[in-house]
Amino acid sequence: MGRSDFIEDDGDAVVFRDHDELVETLGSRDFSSRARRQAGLREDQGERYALQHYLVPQSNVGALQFPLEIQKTERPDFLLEVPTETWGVEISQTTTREINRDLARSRKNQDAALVEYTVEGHQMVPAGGALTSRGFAGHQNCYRVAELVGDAFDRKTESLNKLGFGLHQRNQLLLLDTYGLTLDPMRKRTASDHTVSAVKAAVSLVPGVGAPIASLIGDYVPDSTQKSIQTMLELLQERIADLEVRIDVGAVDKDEFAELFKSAGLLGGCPNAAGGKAPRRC
Amino acid sequence: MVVRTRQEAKLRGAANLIANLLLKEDDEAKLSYIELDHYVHCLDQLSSGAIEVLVEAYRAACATRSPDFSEDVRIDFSDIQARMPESGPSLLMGLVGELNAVNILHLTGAPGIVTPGYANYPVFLTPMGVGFVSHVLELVTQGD
Repeated sequence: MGRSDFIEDDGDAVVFRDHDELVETLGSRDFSSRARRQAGLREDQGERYALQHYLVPQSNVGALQFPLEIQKTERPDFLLEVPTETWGVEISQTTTREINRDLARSRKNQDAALVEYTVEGHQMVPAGGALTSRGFAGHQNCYRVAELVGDAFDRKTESLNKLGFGLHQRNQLLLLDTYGLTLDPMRKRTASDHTVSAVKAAVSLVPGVGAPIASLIGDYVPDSTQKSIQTMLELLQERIADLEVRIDVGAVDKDEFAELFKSAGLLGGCPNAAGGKAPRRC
Repeated sequence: MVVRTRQEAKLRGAANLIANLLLKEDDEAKLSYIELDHYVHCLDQLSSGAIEVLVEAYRAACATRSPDFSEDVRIDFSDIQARMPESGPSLLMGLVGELNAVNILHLTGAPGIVTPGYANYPVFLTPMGVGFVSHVLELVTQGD
């Protein structure tokens, strides 16, 4: 069975006799969007991506019964038949149709090279254009993602309730995060992170002024850092424009250039700085 | 260093140094990578007060008779103090000490007879200090 014909059409079904077979079969497949685009496969390959990332961990912890039959259906997206019951599995993207359209435009159209997520919503940024929002400070990106996922959950459950979702013994709604916003929960916390957390916790205990000061540490400091980086890039852009005819980018030693950038703190800075390496000087 | 301060002089200095690396090989303003790297590290280490002291030391040096910037130019601590009266001698000497640590200013030590407030301490503006002022802070090209 090839990658493209894996329970692709309604009525297609596959049976896994045991955990090993499931992991061997699903684990060897790449349902990522990158692979999907490269192979020119249908967009709803994302459903299989979500199912794969749901079933393999479930099986790893012994939460699945075997034999397990997966059947592709129109509504819900999949039926899982185990010896004692049937599960309905519906898969939904977190992004709205409007955002999907803009994301597709950004991939195809050079005039709209980037989708910038902001605290308020999203907007298209032309190729080479500057980002206009303030960016996310502190935990704002986490809150924003939580809001977006919550909105997607509300939208989908409302439509599913209208369609009578819940006919099966178990019903699963899988939300596939298609925003691409990076929370990076696995990022190893550095000594600097722990120090900031400890200082914030200690300061916030001071009656009256403690909480505002803790907020200053958590919110203003990263915000100020981003402003510094943005100012620096604007000044660099201005300087390069001044020196335009005297510049020869082709002759630049790229290693030296990268090193100088790092030394200037642009690539090796705080978690909120570009690059994302461990903080060198924060 | 960019992530540490939003003071524009330092950010502009960092931008100038990065831009300098992009200059054509035959550009007379082009610095070697070693110089650029050192200046970036100086910029990172120096406080905003120390940079202000350097600017005033440079102006004081310019005010001396026919300064030859290819060599150390001597001024007195009191010359800087006179230009920054709002800072006490102790703080000012601390800031001069920062610049001395990276050889942008050079302190030779206490004179034989010491006057109050370090006034007669000799302070030398080094060629590297002049280079820092011209390439990083760009005061020379702006006619300061």
